[in-house]
Amino acid sequence: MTDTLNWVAVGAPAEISPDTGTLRVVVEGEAVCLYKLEDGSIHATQDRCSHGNASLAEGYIEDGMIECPLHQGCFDIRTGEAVSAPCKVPIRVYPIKIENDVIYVSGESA
Amino acid sequence: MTAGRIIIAGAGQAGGWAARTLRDKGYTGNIVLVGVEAHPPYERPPLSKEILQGACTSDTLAILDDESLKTLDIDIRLNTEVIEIDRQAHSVMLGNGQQLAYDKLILCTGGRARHLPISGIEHERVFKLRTLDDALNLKKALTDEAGHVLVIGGGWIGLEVASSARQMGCEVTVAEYADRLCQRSVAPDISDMLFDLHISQGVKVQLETQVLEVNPTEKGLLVSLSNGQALLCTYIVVAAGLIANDELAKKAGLDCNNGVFVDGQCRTSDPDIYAAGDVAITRTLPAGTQMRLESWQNAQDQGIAAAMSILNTGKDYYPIPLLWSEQFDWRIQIFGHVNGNVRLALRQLASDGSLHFYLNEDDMIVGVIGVNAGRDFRFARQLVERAAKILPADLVDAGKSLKQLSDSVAVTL
Repeated sequence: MTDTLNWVAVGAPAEISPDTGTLRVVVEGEAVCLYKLEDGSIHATQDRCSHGNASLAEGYIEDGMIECPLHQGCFDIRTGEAVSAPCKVPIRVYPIKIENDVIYVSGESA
Repeated sequence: MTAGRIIIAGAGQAGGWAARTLRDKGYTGNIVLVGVEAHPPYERPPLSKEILQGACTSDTLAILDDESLKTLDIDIRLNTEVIEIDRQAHSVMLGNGQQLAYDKLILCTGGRARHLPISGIEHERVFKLRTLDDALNLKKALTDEAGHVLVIGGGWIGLEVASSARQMGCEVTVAEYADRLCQRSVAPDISDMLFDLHISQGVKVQLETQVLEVNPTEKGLLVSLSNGQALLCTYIVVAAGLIANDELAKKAGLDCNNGVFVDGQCRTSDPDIYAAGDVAITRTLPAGTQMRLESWQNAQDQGIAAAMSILNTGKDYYPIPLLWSEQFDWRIQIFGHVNGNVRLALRQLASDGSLHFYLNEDDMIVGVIGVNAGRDFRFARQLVERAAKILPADLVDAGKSLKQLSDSVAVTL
């Protein structure tokens, strides 16, 4: 099958900080947050919280959720769903793939 | 509970979250949300910042927009208020004379900006900031003509307005009656940092200064200050604190004292009447102090807690006070008990930010303030939540991981 998504190389899994589990990158002009979860899986969402002006890469990961550093609202990292107040609007989830130790993010909609 | 009616008096942040939570958690009865403003529930924090500076529009503030009000089937009554409670009959009267029966009533009546009895203060160029309409009026004035703004009050709202007005190109003077900024809410080290921040940004700050008189002249408002100076300004913003709207509760005989007393279930002295948000007096942790919490966080969380209590799914709500402020390029986050009889342990962060830990006489961490502290604030917060006792030498040492310090203590609160 032809890969029709427009993949952008954003870095190596090891660049995601082991302390925070996050890495902020830019894909096609948009800030994207990469996550490495406890099970080793890697995910990408929009970096800006859908509620306030905050970078989710500055946030805190717990049980597959990212907690916004500003108002402590949480999103499900895998689905982008807003799971606790004050967040109501989901965040965008980006498709990723890993090839030869390089993470690729697609700027096109999942 | 069988389907009946819950009335929420006040359609701000607390009322909005109470209404949303009742429906989200399965309440099938009638929900009536009564708000004196023309707008459905919205978030107030951006009023003094993004809204004034034009960085966001009012539609982005909505907690419940028209569509979600419809989806959640919330019967909203705007431009009116509950003016009387008949506790015996379980009914309220609205401003338009309509009587409505309730099973449960939630008071989320909030507060209003304090009025100062100053001669000449009633003038079209004198503003306050509590509602969206207040913010839009002030924004229009500052945009039409930048001018010189005198802010009366060096608390959070006053300083945020000063910061916004300065960034909009205004000359700004803050007059504060106390001997330091945000005196009621933070320890002196933060007051001093705020003072330095504002001075460095060109704001004039006059401490221990009261406004005695305002005289409109052709050149502007001529203001006499208690330090003997006279000041000519274009606008005045009165930011002298909040008065709780507890008159309705008082008239109904509920226990009040500049606010309505509630228990851990958000119940007032009448078991069918609850209160939440700025108007409620709540027991807070870690010290157990009873106080009103004028914060976004409490408005949201207590609104939710009151709804959960009514649905018998609520845990006791004894919050640790949490608030934040944004001024110039500073983000200040405050958690716990950070004023009064506390000792400071200061950690400078590699990022230029700082964490100010406050310890009680038993060396327990009772509060923390983060200035541009980012993620580190998360772990600092945990230390307060866990009532941690950490060696001050470790707290101030930025080489010691906060996460590890936090992981090393058991949860006690």
